[in-house]
Amino acid sequence: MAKIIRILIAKPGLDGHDRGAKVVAQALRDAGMEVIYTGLHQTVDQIVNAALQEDVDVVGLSILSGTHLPICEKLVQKMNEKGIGDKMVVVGGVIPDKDVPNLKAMGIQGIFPNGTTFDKIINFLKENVPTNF
Amino acid sequence: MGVATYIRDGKEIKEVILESGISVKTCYSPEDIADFDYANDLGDPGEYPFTRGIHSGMYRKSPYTMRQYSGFGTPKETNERFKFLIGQGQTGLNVAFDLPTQLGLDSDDPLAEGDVGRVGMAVDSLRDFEEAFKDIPLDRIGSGLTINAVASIMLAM
Repeated sequence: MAKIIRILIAKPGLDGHDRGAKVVAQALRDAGMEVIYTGLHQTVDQIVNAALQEDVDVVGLSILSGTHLPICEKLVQKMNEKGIGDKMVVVGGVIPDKDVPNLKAMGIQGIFPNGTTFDKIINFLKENVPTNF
Repeated sequence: MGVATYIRDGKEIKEVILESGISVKTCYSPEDIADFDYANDLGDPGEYPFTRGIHSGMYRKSPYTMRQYSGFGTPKETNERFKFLIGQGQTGLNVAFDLPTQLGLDSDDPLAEGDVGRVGMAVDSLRDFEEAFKDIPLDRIGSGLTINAVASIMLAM
Protein backbone atom coordinates (compact mmCIF):
# COMPACT_ATOMS: atom_id res chain seq x y z
CA MET A 1 0.00 0.00 0.00
CA ALA A 2 1.29 3.45 -0.89
CA LYS A 3 2.31 5.47 2.14
CA ILE A 4 0.84 8.91 2.69
CA ILE A 5 3.39 11.67 1.97
CA ARG A 6 4.53 13.41 5.14
CA ILE A 7 5.88 16.95 4.67
CA LEU A 8 7.35 19.57 6.98
CA ILE A 9 6.55 23.13 5.92
CA ALA A 10 9.17 25.37 7.51
CA LYS A 11 9.60 29.11 7.76
CA PRO A 12 13.31 29.83 8.30
CA GLY A 13 14.83 33.20 9.13
CA LEU A 14 13.32 36.36 10.52
CA ASP A 15 10.75 37.20 7.85
CA GLY A 16 7.18 37.13 9.15
CA HIS A 17 5.28 36.74 5.88
CA ASP A 18 3.77 33.30 6.44
CA ARG A 19 0.56 33.50 4.40
CA GLY A 20 2.18 31.58 1.54
CA ALA A 21 3.45 28.83 3.84
CA LYS A 22 0.03 28.49 5.44
CA VAL A 23 -2.00 28.33 2.22
CA VAL A 24 0.42 25.80 0.74
CA ALA A 25 0.23 23.73 3.95
CA GLN A 26 -3.55 23.73 3.69
CA ALA A 27 -3.53 22.84 -0.02
CA LEU A 28 -1.18 19.88 0.61
CA ARG A 29 -3.34 18.70 3.51
CA ASP A 30 -6.43 18.93 1.29
CA ALA A 31 -4.53 16.88 -1.32
CA GLY A 32 -4.24 14.07 1.24
CA MET A 33 -0.76 14.66 2.64
CA GLU A 34 0.25 14.83 6.29
CA VAL A 35 1.56 18.35 6.87
CA ILE A 36 3.50 19.71 9.83
CA TYR A 37 4.04 23.49 9.98
CA THR A 38 6.92 24.82 12.10
CA GLY A 39 5.67 28.36 12.68
CA LEU A 40 7.76 31.50 12.27
CA HIS A 41 11.41 32.36 12.90
CA GLN A 42 12.95 28.90 12.78
CA THR A 43 16.68 28.30 12.72
CA VAL A 44 18.08 25.65 10.38
CA ASP A 45 18.87 23.47 13.42
CA GLN A 46 15.27 23.68 14.61
CA ILE A 47 13.99 22.73 11.15
CA VAL A 48 16.36 19.74 10.84
CA ASN A 49 15.35 18.61 14.33
CA ALA A 50 11.67 18.85 13.47
CA ALA A 51 12.22 16.91 10.23
CA LEU A 52 14.04 14.21 12.16
CA GLN A 53 11.53 13.93 14.98
CA GLU A 54 8.48 14.07 12.71
CA ASP A 55 10.04 11.52 10.34
CA VAL A 56 8.97 13.44 7.25
CA ASP A 57 9.59 12.51 3.62
CA VAL A 58 9.92 16.10 2.44
CA VAL A 59 11.11 19.41 3.90
CA GLY A 60 9.46 22.40 2.23
CA LEU A 61 10.91 25.83 2.95
CA SER A 62 9.06 29.12 2.48
CA ILE A 63 11.50 32.00 1.99
CA LEU A 64 10.54 35.49 0.89
CA SER A 65 13.37 37.58 2.28
CA GLY A 66 16.16 36.83 -0.21
CA THR A 67 18.00 34.51 2.18
CA HIS A 68 17.26 31.31 0.23
CA LEU A 69 20.83 30.63 -0.90
CA PRO A 70 22.62 30.61 2.50
CA ILE A 71 19.67 28.96 4.26
CA CYS A 72 19.24 26.16 1.70
CA GLU A 73 22.97 25.48 1.67
CA LYS A 74 23.11 25.20 5.46
CA LEU A 75 19.95 23.10 5.62
CA VAL A 76 21.24 20.52 3.14
CA GLN A 77 24.56 20.33 5.00
CA LYS A 78 22.88 19.88 8.40
CA MET A 79 20.46 17.28 7.04
CA ASN A 80 23.44 15.30 5.74
CA GLU A 81 25.16 15.57 9.12
CA LYS A 82 22.05 14.25 10.88
CA GLY A 83 21.71 11.35 8.48
CA ILE A 84 18.55 12.53 6.70
CA GLY A 85 20.28 13.76 3.56
CA ASP A 86 18.16 11.35 1.51
CA LYS A 87 14.96 13.29 2.25
CA MET A 88 13.61 15.59 -0.43
CA VAL A 89 13.98 19.35 0.02
CA VAL A 90 11.83 21.85 -1.86
CA VAL A 91 11.63 25.65 -1.58
CA GLY A 92 9.01 28.24 -2.45
CA GLY A 93 8.74 31.99 -2.20
CA VAL A 94 10.53 34.92 -3.78
CA ILE A 95 13.16 33.03 -5.75
CA PRO A 96 14.77 34.84 -8.71
CA ASP A 97 15.27 32.74 -11.87
CA LYS A 98 19.03 33.28 -11.74
CA ASP A 99 19.26 31.42 -8.41
CA VAL A 100 17.46 28.28 -9.63
CA PRO A 101 20.61 26.55 -11.03
CA ASN A 102 22.48 27.24 -7.76
CA LEU A 103 19.65 25.78 -5.69
CA LYS A 104 19.42 22.72 -7.95
CA ALA A 105 23.18 22.20 -7.61
CA MET A 106 22.81 22.22 -3.81
CA GLY A 107 20.30 19.40 -4.08
CA ILE A 108 17.05 21.35 -3.78
CA GLN A 109 14.75 19.22 -5.94
CA GLY A 110 11.64 21.38 -6.27
CA ILE A 111 11.70 25.17 -6.65
CA PHE A 112 8.39 27.01 -6.64
CA PRO A 113 8.63 30.77 -7.19
CA ASN A 114 5.82 33.35 -7.11
CA GLY A 115 2.77 32.39 -9.12
CA THR A 116 3.23 28.61 -8.81
CA THR A 117 -0.14 26.82 -8.75
CA PHE A 118 -1.07 24.37 -5.99
CA ASP A 119 -1.55 21.70 -8.66
CA LYS A 120 2.03 22.09 -9.79
CA ILE A 121 3.38 21.60 -6.25
CA ILE A 122 1.03 18.71 -5.47
CA ASN A 123 1.78 16.90 -8.73
CA PHE A 124 5.52 17.38 -8.28
CA LEU A 125 5.42 15.83 -4.80
CA LYS A 126 3.15 12.96 -5.83
CA GLU A 127 5.39 12.13 -8.80
CA ASN A 128 8.75 12.55 -7.12
CA VAL A 129 8.44 11.47 -3.48
CA PRO A 130 9.09 7.72 -3.25
CA THR A 131 5.94 6.13 -1.84
CA ASN A 132 6.92 2.43 -1.81
CA PHE A 133 8.68 2.51 1.56
CA MET B 1 -20.16 41.66 3.57
CA GLY B 2 -18.73 43.50 0.60
CA VAL B 3 -17.60 47.09 0.20
CA ALA B 4 -21.17 48.38 0.31
CA THR B 5 -24.69 46.99 0.75
CA TYR B 6 -27.23 47.96 -1.92
CA ILE B 7 -30.88 48.12 -0.86
CA ARG B 8 -33.03 47.71 -3.96
CA ASP B 9 -36.66 48.10 -4.88
CA GLY B 10 -36.91 45.85 -7.91
CA LYS B 11 -34.11 47.04 -10.19
CA GLU B 12 -33.85 50.49 -8.62
CA ILE B 13 -31.23 51.19 -5.96
CA LYS B 14 -32.95 52.88 -2.99
CA GLU B 15 -30.08 53.17 -0.58
CA VAL B 16 -26.43 52.31 -0.26
CA ILE B 17 -24.87 51.45 3.10
CA LEU B 18 -21.09 51.76 3.08
CA GLU B 19 -18.83 49.25 4.81
CA SER B 20 -18.46 51.76 7.67
CA GLY B 21 -22.23 51.62 8.28
CA ILE B 22 -22.92 55.09 6.87
CA SER B 23 -26.04 55.27 4.75
CA VAL B 24 -25.64 57.11 1.44
CA LYS B 25 -28.47 58.30 -0.74
CA THR B 26 -28.31 57.80 -4.47
CA CYS B 27 -28.83 61.53 -5.14
CA TYR B 28 -28.50 64.70 -3.07
CA SER B 29 -30.13 68.15 -3.49
CA PRO B 30 -30.06 71.57 -1.67
CA GLU B 31 -32.74 70.20 0.68
CA ASP B 32 -30.19 67.86 2.17
CA ILE B 33 -28.06 70.77 3.37
CA ALA B 34 -30.86 73.04 4.57
CA ASP B 35 -29.23 73.19 8.04
CA PHE B 36 -25.74 73.63 6.61
CA ASP B 37 -23.46 75.82 8.75
CA TYR B 38 -20.39 76.86 6.74
CA ALA B 39 -18.08 77.45 9.73
CA ASN B 40 -18.95 74.17 11.45
CA ASP B 41 -19.63 71.88 8.51
CA LEU B 42 -17.02 72.94 5.96
CA GLY B 43 -14.77 75.83 6.94
CA ASP B 44 -11.90 77.49 5.06
CA PRO B 45 -8.95 75.42 3.88
CA GLY B 46 -6.51 75.00 6.76
CA GLU B 47 -9.21 75.83 9.36
CA TYR B 48 -11.56 73.78 11.56
CA PRO B 49 -13.02 71.22 10.79
CA PHE B 50 -10.25 70.78 8.17
CA THR B 51 -12.61 69.36 5.57
CA ARG B 52 -10.51 71.04 2.92
CA GLY B 53 -7.10 70.07 4.22
CA ILE B 54 -4.86 70.90 7.16
CA HIS B 55 -2.95 73.69 5.36
CA SER B 56 -4.45 76.72 3.60
CA GLY B 57 -2.59 76.14 0.36
CA MET B 58 -2.19 72.37 0.57
CA TYR B 59 -0.41 70.84 -2.46
CA ARG B 60 -0.76 74.01 -4.58
CA LYS B 61 1.61 75.71 -2.13
CA SER B 62 4.12 72.89 -1.77
CA PRO B 63 4.01 69.34 -3.08
CA TYR B 64 3.98 66.34 -0.77
CA THR B 65 7.32 64.93 0.41
CA MET B 66 8.66 62.25 -1.90
CA ARG B 67 10.41 59.57 0.13
CA GLN B 68 10.89 56.22 -1.54
CA TYR B 69 11.47 53.32 0.87
CA SER B 70 15.17 52.60 0.51
CA GLY B 71 18.12 51.02 2.27
CA PHE B 72 20.12 47.87 1.58
CA GLY B 73 23.27 46.11 2.73
CA THR B 74 25.66 48.25 4.72
CA PRO B 75 25.11 51.83 5.93
CA LYS B 76 27.72 52.92 3.37
CA GLU B 77 25.77 51.36 0.49
CA THR B 78 22.59 52.88 1.88
CA ASN B 79 24.25 56.31 2.07
CA GLU B 80 25.17 56.03 -1.63
CA ARG B 81 21.57 55.15 -2.46
CA PHE B 82 20.22 58.06 -0.37
CA LYS B 83 22.48 60.49 -2.23
CA PHE B 84 21.40 59.07 -5.59
CA LEU B 85 17.71 59.44 -4.71
CA ILE B 86 18.14 62.99 -3.40
CA GLY B 87 20.06 63.77 -6.61
CA GLN B 88 17.02 62.54 -8.56
CA GLY B 89 14.79 65.08 -6.78
CA GLN B 90 13.56 63.12 -3.80
CA THR B 91 12.65 65.48 -0.93
CA GLY B 92 12.73 63.07 2.02
CA LEU B 93 14.05 59.67 3.08
CA ASN B 94 12.26 56.54 4.27
CA VAL B 95 14.82 54.20 5.74
CA ALA B 96 14.55 50.44 5.21
CA PHE B 97 16.18 48.28 7.89
CA ASP B 98 17.08 44.61 7.71
CA LEU B 99 15.04 42.12 9.74
CA PRO B 100 17.59 41.57 12.55
CA THR B 101 17.61 45.34 13.14
CA GLN B 102 13.81 45.45 13.04
CA LEU B 103 13.68 42.73 15.69
CA GLY B 104 16.42 44.20 17.88
CA LEU B 105 19.06 41.57 17.09
CA ASP B 106 22.75 42.30 16.50
CA SER B 107 24.18 41.36 13.10
CA ASP B 108 26.31 38.64 14.72
CA ASP B 109 23.37 37.01 16.51
CA PRO B 110 23.00 33.35 15.38
CA LEU B 111 19.33 34.03 14.54
CA ALA B 112 20.37 36.80 12.15
CA GLU B 113 22.38 34.51 9.88
CA GLY B 114 21.51 35.10 6.24
CA ASP B 115 19.24 38.05 6.99
CA VAL B 116 21.91 40.71 7.61
CA GLY B 117 21.65 43.55 5.08
CA ARG B 118 18.68 41.94 3.33
CA VAL B 119 15.51 43.95 2.69
CA GLY B 120 17.15 46.96 4.36
CA MET B 121 20.32 48.18 6.02
CA ALA B 122 21.89 46.67 9.13
CA VAL B 123 22.22 48.94 12.17
CA ASP B 124 24.11 47.80 15.26
CA SER B 125 25.40 51.07 16.68
CA LEU B 126 25.27 54.85 16.34
CA ARG B 127 28.25 54.70 13.98
CA ASP B 128 26.06 52.90 11.42
CA PHE B 129 23.59 55.78 11.54
CA GLU B 130 26.35 58.36 11.21
CA GLU B 131 27.62 56.58 8.12
CA ALA B 132 24.17 56.19 6.56
CA PHE B 133 23.41 59.90 6.97
CA LYS B 134 26.89 61.22 6.17
CA ASP B 135 26.66 64.47 4.13
CA ILE B 136 22.85 64.28 3.92
CA PRO B 137 21.39 67.83 4.36
CA LEU B 138 19.14 67.03 7.33
CA ASP B 139 17.99 70.68 7.52
CA ARG B 140 15.91 70.18 4.38
CA ILE B 141 15.62 66.38 3.98
CA GLY B 142 13.24 64.80 6.47
CA SER B 143 13.66 61.16 7.48
CA GLY B 144 11.17 58.46 8.29
CA LEU B 145 12.45 55.26 9.91
CA THR B 146 10.39 52.19 9.03
CA ILE B 147 11.43 50.28 12.12
CA ASN B 148 8.29 49.43 14.12
CA ALA B 149 8.90 48.23 17.66
CA VAL B 150 12.55 49.17 18.12
CA ALA B 151 12.17 52.81 16.99
CA SER B 152 12.68 54.10 20.53
CA ILE B 153 15.94 52.15 20.86
CA MET B 154 17.12 53.61 17.55
CA LEU B 155 16.37 57.12 18.79
CA ALA B 156 18.13 56.43 22.10
CA MET B 157 21.34 55.70 20.16
